[in-house]
Amino acid sequence: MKGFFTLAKTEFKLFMREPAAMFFTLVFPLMLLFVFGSVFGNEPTDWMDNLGSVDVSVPGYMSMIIGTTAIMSIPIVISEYRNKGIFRRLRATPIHPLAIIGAQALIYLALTALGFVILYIAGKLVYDLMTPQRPLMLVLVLLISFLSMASLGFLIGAYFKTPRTASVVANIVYFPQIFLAGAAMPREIFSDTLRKWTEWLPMTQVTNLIKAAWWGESIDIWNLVYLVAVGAVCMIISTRIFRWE
Amino acid sequence: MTTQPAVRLEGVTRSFGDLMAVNDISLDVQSGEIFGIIGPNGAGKTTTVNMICGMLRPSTGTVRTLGYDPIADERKLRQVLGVQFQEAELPGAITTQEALELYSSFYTNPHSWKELAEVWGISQKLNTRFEKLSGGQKQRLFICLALLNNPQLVVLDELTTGLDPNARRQSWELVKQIRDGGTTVVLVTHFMEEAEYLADRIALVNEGKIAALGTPAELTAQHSDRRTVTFTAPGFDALSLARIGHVSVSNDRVTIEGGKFLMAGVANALREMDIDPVDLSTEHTSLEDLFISLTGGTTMEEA
Repeated sequence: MKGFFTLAKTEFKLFMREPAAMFFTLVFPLMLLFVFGSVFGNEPTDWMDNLGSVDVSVPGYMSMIIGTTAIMSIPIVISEYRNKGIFRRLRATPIHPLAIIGAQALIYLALTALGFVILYIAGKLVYDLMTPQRPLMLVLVLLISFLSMASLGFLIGAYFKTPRTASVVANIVYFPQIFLAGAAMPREIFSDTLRKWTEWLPMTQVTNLIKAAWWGESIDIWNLVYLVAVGAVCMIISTRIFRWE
Repeated sequence: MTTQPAVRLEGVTRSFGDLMAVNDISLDVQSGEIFGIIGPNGAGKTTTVNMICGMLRPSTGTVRTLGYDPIADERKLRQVLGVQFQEAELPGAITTQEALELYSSFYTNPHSWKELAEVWGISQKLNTRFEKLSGGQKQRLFICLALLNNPQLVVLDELTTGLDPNARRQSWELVKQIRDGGTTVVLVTHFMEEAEYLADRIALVNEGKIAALGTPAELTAQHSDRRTVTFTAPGFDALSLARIGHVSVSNDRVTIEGGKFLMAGVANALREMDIDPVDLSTEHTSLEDLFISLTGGTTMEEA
């Protein structure tokens, strides 16, 4: 166990030395908050169910943070650690293989949570962001979303041979979803056709679930089933194809 | 005294698809010795090492490392085995000290990393990131990581690759110290000189098989019937020595290869022909020659 925690602690420090990854996880969502917050403010409006612009946007930013850690960072770390033999060296020690992967999962979960907390506190202080109506459900939904998206990221890292390809594929999976799955901009402003076509994106489920829990609406069970299914399938394939070196 | 070998391979094979990387290798590494494994690239050295370390399951045959089945008893073996891999890295941003502390945390009773860093000359680099270390410093860090658990057996794969000649010499002395401290060493190398200098016994591996096995002296003795004499003689008639040995001439440089008493034969013939080259010399058989003859002509550098 000592090895596991030292590994997680070390990996966390290493992440903090990656300026780009740290920026997109912890700083970029704040920038979106302040840019759009300063333009639109957070006054409740009729056509948004008496929610303010910030109230509507922040749940999407939360799903963007999940996307950043799970879909952008995890594939790169997995493929890089495999290709450079970093996993190989770790595997030659008594630490359990599951602890090696578990430490990565733990620190990206921690970073995601840190991203949430920073964003929430800033939103609350500056724009009086709406308090989550079903906080426990929100935590649960965030956790499931992270695990599911992390499985997708793990699959990308396990499947693509070089960090370069893994990173390109991660970009292809990440960026369209950021814009089409309601993360960077609300899907409410989409045309009906576009909204219908983007319904099936994995991250759309994430955004819908977070919004529902936040605003105190009932959870659409199909969002949840779909998301868990995506995560489970990715996890099953990953465990079959993953190689340490 | 226990007579259990540190490593025992019995009829071990390992194939990857159609490729037979290791083909029926049997050997014992005695406790307390430096055992050298040499051979050209693709000979099966690293595959063999991977099986000894439990990183790879043999296709057939038995592997016992420090008495353990390296696959079934993997976790127990890892506590007493030290490994320095040829192809392994650390994350670029990790510092030397962080790496040493991290790897110490994996063992129940680790050696003081400060002391190891001191002995291996990286204590000035504790706050340097891995990506900023020189090739030699990285190598020495990996050796420290391999020794953190006071291993009973340490496997060093291409220990001195990337080291300058001075650092290489220093490493050799330290490897001897490791052995003298009671740790068995398996040394994989493509530097013949290194194996000759360090190893108590050597296995020469070629095409997945053991081509020769023994002490450096035994191995060179096996091929000590081969002699080579060279000298410079402008316009020399190569045919005149053909009955003595195999003659080749290039740029007035004559090389004669043959068996026993070659030297005496050449000297007599030259006396008769009244030729007295000032640079006549003879080459002794080295492991390098043995290697070349056993692997069919590829030298280590080409391989």
